Amino acid sequence: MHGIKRRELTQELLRKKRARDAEKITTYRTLTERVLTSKARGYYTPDELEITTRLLELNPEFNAVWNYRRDAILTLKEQLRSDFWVNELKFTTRQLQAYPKVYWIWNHRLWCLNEYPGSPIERWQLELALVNKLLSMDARNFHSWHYRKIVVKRLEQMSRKNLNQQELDYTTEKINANISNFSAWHQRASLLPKMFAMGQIPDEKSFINRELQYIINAMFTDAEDQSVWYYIKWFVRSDCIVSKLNTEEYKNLLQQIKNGILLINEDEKDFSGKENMWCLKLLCVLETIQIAQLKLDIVPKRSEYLDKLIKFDPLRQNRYRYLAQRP
Amino acid sequence: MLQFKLVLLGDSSVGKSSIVHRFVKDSFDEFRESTIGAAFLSQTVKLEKHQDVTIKFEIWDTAGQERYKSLAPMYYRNANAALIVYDVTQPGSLVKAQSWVEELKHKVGDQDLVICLVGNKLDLCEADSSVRQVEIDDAQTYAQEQHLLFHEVSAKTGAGIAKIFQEMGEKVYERKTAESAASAATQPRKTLNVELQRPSTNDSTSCCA
Amino acid sequence: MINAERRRSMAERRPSTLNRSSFSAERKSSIAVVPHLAGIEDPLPETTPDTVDVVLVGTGLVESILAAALSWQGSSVLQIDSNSYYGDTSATLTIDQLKQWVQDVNKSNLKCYENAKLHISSNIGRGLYKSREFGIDLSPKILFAKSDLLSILLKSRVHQYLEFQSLSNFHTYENDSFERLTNTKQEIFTNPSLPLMTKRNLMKFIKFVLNWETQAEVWEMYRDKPVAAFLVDKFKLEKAQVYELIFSIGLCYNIDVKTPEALQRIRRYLTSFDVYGPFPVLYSKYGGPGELSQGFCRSAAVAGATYKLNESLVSYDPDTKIAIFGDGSKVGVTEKVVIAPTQCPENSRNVPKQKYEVQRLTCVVDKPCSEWFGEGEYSSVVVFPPNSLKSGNRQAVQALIMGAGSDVCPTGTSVWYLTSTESGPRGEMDLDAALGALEESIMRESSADIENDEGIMEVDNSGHMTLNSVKLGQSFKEYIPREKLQILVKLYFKQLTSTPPFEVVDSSIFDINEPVGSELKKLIPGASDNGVLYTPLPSAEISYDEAITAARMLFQKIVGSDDDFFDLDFDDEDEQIDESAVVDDDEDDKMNMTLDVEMSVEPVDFAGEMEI
Repeated sequence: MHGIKRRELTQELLRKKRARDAEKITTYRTLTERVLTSKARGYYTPDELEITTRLLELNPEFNAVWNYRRDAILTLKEQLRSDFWVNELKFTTRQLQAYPKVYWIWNHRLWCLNEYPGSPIERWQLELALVNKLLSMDARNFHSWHYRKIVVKRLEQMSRKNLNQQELDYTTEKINANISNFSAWHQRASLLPKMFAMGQIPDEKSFINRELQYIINAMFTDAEDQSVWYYIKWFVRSDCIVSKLNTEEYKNLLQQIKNGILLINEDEKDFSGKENMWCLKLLCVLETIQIAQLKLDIVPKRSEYLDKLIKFDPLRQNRYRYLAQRP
Repeated sequence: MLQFKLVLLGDSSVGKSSIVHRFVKDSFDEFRESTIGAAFLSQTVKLEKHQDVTIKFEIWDTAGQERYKSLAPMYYRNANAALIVYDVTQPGSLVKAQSWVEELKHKVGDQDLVICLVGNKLDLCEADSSVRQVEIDDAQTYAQEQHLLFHEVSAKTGAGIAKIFQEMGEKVYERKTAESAASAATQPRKTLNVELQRPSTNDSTSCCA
Repeated sequence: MINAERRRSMAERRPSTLNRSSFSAERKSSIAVVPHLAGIEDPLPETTPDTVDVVLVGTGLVESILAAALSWQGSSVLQIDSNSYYGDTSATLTIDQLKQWVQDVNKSNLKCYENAKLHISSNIGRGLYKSREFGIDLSPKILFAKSDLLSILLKSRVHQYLEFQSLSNFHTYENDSFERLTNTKQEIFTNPSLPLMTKRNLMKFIKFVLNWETQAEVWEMYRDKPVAAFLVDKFKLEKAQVYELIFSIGLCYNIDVKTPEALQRIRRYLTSFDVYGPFPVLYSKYGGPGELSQGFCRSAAVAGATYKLNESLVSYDPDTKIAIFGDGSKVGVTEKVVIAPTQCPENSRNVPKQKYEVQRLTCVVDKPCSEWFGEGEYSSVVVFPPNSLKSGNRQAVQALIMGAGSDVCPTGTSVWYLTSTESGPRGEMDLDAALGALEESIMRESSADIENDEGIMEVDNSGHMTLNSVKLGQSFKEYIPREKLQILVKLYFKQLTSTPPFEVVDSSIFDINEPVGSELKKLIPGASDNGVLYTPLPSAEISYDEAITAARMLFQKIVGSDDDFFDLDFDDEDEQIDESAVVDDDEDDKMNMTLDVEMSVEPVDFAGEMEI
């Protein structure tokens, strides 16, 4: 029925669709019943394994079935074909293509990689390439990021080589591609303390300065992006950063950021008549550090900021009021 | 899977579409909606002579534009194979087919095509031999001269249809593998086309948060 | 003519589908008879059908889209073209066809093209290149990833006949140099030479423009003012950014463009970005609108339309509703005759005046120009904003560069399409100046030594071919081969059109036959164009923006409404599940190591509550 107008087709198509759906539901119910029965009885055979494949293709979020599958695989280990694991991985690949955000698939895949006979390093390197490919298609899938961290950790253990620098570079690459990448910034924030602690940063002060410029650049490019602001907030108070600077340098760092923020906020007021929430919040943070920690003699504007926040961000007003009451 | 473009040529009413339909759907009935809406038909062939390698034919029907010799250059472009069809019961049909061979060679120039001359409506001759208007020898001779493959078929009964595509398949496949081997040294220019029906999977938020 | 009734759909009109069991409970027994599928199989007479609903004269892009739309809707269509090729004003021509075209233009009385001049190097034809290796567009176009034409290509499946490539590189010519556009968040962020506030301002603007209509409060005051003022006042952008946004991203013609129109055009570029990848625009291989015309004609043929090239309309009588063709055949017309102004019969009256000029200069050069293309790409756009050229151009000159990878020219060459909306000799000077700038740039950027070209052939105004001796105008003197760049083909012509250089396409632009008041509601008796609609000629617009609007408008005039315009729903056949671009995981392993599985990640004091 090609090229026939929608009106005419609708009836016919609906009928067909309903028929197809009914069939699917029956199949699903039958399969489920069978698997759960076998599971309860502790019954594992290659046929049952095949049934779980079909069922999981229909519903990859059925964790009980994944569990049963794993038990079946372990029980049938001796009977499995030599290319079983390769095919099992291919199965998860197919599933991930269709459902890249279903945790249970990632989980099963990881299990496979660990059960994989020998589990050689090349397998894990391929895995890293795979997850990078997935991230290039959807850079903000936090499942992929989480999984990636596990893979990298495994690689480090196997190669006895630390991959922090490579990982840091990867976050830079991802942030450059799109600064609104929360996972990338998060990853960066978890790497830096480790790298500093392990002495992996060659020229620390210079690195910190470059990082400062990097985040100022990000803040100007997109002052609405929360990931950038979260990172800045972490950066200005992070021990690994602060401990490397003397008081003057730290004051200077804070001031540079503050200047940038004030500029952005003024510009925002000028443009839209409203102030930028993130700017106000960060100004409060900075001021607290400057006054409480550095004992600088500056005019405290914290309550002014909080008042504005209460006005412009009424959803969180209780929080702001609470904070306003604290010294 | 290797894919090959196959074009049909021949006058209207010789049964070109029926031949293809028989090949693609293996039926010869009224529900011939195949050309409606379809840009082209496709069908795979398992090549018996080559360890059952599977290839795919992308088959272009003329959609009637041949009636007044109004086939567009797009029709011939990058074709790997061509079926030139005539009707064994129509007087002068072979002559018309010959002009199509000329037309094809003119349009594709240097391109190397596997061409098969096909005489259709064999079933009518088998019922009543007096109906035949084109002698098989004439067609065979012509085909040999022009280095064309040749078969007589019946789209109605299916006789000979599968054989054409099997033979065409082998020939285009052999040519392709020979070509790839020869040009293995030269780096072919890789042009990456954009598939309109496959939009990017990336979050479309490159410009805003 | 307003037809209030909905036309019967194609399904209803096709005899074969009436037997479909899907519409009736009884199933007809399988008869071994091939049913009639219009235009394909039955022994139809060698002459044109007796009666058709619509006759379309000319296979230009708009006409071809219209043919497909009408055919799928159920109307019977006969489309003819006096040329031996498809495409008419949108055609893609070989060199030989181009030569013929120039001669025809210079001989013709039709007021659609003027002043065609063609130089061809003798390397073509008897030398290195064959005529057939070139596909020169008469009206080159680029396709925005988010556009009505692209949607129709998908809906009609005509895209399956075509191949598309991406175009990422847009250049702006400023101060004698070409700057590549940087307009994505990524590029803005990583650009070390942009000051911080500029980055912020640009990003602010980009975010704003994506939804500009809903934020009238921001631009309302500038509704009737030039957008440049808006960009400077409101977003504090600098001249360089302003020019890039207006001329390279918005592809506007001059600095006076008003705010809403410019914002629409700028937005068009930005929303097209990232639909298929990091680029806003596509183009079709083997040629632009010429290929699309062929594609839509094929689609129309598949839906039942009849095609006749090398056929012209001699006359149409609106009283008898009989159309007579050049080969003597006749056809009765039940609805309308639609004619391209380039193919109208001698005695046509009320042909719309083509009062706007589009001046085009097309060159094929002996250089691959890959320096100008993005990675893995074979084309780019270059814009010369007003006042950027030595000629002091008032209007922008837009250039589309096509490399051999797009299969419109042989390896090692490229085609340069330059267009200007400036009229008269000024336009020609602007085009020459732009050509000079491109030449200079490519010679600077590439280092090959060019041999002198011996023997140039020319086709002059009266259609005669002459050898060398350039006498055709001061401006062409500079391009005699003692300049190092070898130009294989140089084509200059002026195209006329009734479509003004529009900022934003609107159906009213094409409504040239609309009655104003009660005056024109009466048909002039005896006028040969009653019951006739004229199609618009392509405008200077580099995008395909006008095509669907024009086709839809004509469709509505014929059918009565545009509800059925490509209202299609083809079944999904043979859904191909492509191999994913994912690493294939079937490596063999031999090592023997086991490890603990750790499924958690250490917590990081990062995204806690934003504590103040």
